[in-house]
Amino acid sequence: MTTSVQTTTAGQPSGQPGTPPLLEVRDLVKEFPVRGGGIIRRTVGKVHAVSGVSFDLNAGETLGLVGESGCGKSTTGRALLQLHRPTSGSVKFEGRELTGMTTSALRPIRRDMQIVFQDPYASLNPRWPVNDIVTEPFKIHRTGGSNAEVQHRVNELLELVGLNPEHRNRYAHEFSGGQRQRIGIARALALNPKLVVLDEPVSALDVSVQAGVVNLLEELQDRLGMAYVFVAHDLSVVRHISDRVAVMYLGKIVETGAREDIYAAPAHPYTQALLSAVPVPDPVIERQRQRIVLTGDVPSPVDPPSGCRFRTRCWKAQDICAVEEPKLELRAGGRTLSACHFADVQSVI
Amino acid sequence: MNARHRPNDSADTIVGTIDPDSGALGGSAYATEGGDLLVVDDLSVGFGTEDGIVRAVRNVSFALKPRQVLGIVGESGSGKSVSSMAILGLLPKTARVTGSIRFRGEELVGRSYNEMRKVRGNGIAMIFQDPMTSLNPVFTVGWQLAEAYRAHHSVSKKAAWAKAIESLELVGIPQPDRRAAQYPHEFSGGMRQRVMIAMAIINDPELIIADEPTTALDVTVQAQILETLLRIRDETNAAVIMITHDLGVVAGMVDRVQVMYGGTVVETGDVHEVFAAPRMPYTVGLLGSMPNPALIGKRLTPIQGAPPSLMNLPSGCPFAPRCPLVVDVCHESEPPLTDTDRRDHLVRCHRWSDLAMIDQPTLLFAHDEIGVVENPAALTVANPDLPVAEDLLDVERRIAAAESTSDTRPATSTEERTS
Repeated sequence: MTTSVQTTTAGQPSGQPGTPPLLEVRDLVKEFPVRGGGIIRRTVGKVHAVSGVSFDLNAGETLGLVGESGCGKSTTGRALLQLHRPTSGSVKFEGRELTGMTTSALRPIRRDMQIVFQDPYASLNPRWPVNDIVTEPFKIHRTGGSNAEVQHRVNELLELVGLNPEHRNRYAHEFSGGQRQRIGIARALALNPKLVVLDEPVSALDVSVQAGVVNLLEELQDRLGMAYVFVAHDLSVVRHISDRVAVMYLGKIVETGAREDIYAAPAHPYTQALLSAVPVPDPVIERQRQRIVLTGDVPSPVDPPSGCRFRTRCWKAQDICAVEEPKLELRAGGRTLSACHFADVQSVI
Repeated sequence: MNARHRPNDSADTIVGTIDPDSGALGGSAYATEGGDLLVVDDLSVGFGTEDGIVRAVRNVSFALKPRQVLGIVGESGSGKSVSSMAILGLLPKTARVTGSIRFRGEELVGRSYNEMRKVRGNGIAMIFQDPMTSLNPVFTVGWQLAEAYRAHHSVSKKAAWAKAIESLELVGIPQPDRRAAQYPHEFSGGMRQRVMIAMAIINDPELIIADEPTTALDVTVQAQILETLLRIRDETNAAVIMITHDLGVVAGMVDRVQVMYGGTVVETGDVHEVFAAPRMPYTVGLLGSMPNPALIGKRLTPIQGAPPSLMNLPSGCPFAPRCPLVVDVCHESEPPLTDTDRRDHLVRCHRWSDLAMIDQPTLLFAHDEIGVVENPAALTVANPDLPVAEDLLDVERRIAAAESTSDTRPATSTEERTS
């Protein structure tokens, strides 16, 4: 027992010194053009989907990216893998810069970075049997050895995610939503990735099925040690699975920190509002809670507010919020990094 | 009234928060029902298909008082939406509806289309899940609201427009006179759902059925909409049936909860009762599937397997194939909805009294997703002897990598298990 305590203190806080993090993201920006209606379709504006996101991710760690629809969390996840080419900024994977790399140069690196998509109905080819779907990564990367070896491996992958390998010749439509998501996970794991981006992997599933997939993801990580970027809007699932959490609002990280700190001592008003809005499945607690109900909706990312982007819905907003954009930093009394001029720790659960 | 039916006298105490004066709203029309606004008795709905009959709803009975909020919880295919569609008479003609639905003492089952139209919107209104497909994109919001009002009231267009603006204001839409002239696409998702609520209440219904009203919305908007719904309930004294799969929404909103599985009600009671002392293994499984702060660092305890096909229901209890407490009798006969040790708390389970003895019932469902059985009670694990692809998955490299970083991670259950 004592040895484990020693290693705990030695290993803090972000991996061993000298070892670069698995993933280093700096000032990531992704803008999409908005085109006019004429024949020329000239660009008339920009959707500022992701505006300067920075974070590190260590091997074997889970970072939860949370926020409401349109906050840029999925775009961030895809920009990490260069599925959306970032407009500017840097994404380093094991020390190598990915932005600006050609597709062919990226391909070998993609073996180590995989993604599981939200919609288990749309992300599996309906004309392919499951066997082909899970075999495809081996074909693309010309790896895995002989056909028999690949077949052996596919069977094992299916078993690993809790599917019966005898069903490998079935088509995706013959499986339930939860089973399809497991097929997507098996495909992502085929090449032993070091990083898996999970883009809302459980939000299309029923509660009881969702819990099974969450458990599976945790068990796979315990066993195989890959890092996860878990993109989700469901704060309770993120709380369950993440080591660290980054809360996004309109393309920016407004608060980030260790899971316990984000949930127990949130400092940013948006995090507080978001947490207080999540219903708790306990009638006693749920009816005693003080709920912060935000007014209005998220502004358009085509024309985000000046200064702090949350100021239009914030009850603490003052003149400075419109002028000066708050930095993401450790604020007085806080345990997390928060981007608010008036950050103030407040427990909301 | 049969034994399955909830006795009315005890229901009075459940909804104790109700102002006794509001009973006047009920009027004398349905005094015969003991103050119940809606009585559903032994309702069954079947759909004939080429492959057989889909038994979407089976023997559902419940009653609802004015101002009461009833939550119907269940997963996809549990029959929760079909039973509410049956109340509104919105099922296709192929549906075979049996049993009785009495609203204000009047029977609704077997009514003609035109007779139902008088009740729909006027007496019972519905809020649908997806406001974008429920609003007509080519008419202004105000026009659609006025149209709904004029369908039940013979008033001038001008008066109906004024009424439309009034109801938009009631649901908290800013600048209602300007917004009424706009089209649905000019509204955000949350604002559209408010329009749907405005449309539901414009004719002052006594019962509002909300079918997953916030599922498509973000949490901060969901909080706004739920708050609006409760405020509307207070202002109009309408009863609400809230259909949802979100146990958190149920915990905060409803007075009474009814859990559905395999087309039938498997547990019903006061919301505090059911959450604190579930007496049906399915409810226990649902509660254990919800990520909960108390479970951080532990595995969730989801239900194994998948819900049954409504076309081919298992004999006996529909939950038996997934139930950790299953015994032979569960496969042989479907239990009736019976009283439990708790007051006004009914379940459809042969083994509720055994379940009541268990300290932490959610642990019954504990199992490993990868294939090792943690708990022998979880008998339904597909293949406990599953070999794991350790060699090919290059475990040593992974473990080495994990050890170098696991120090910064909070204790996982694996570490707990080994320590």
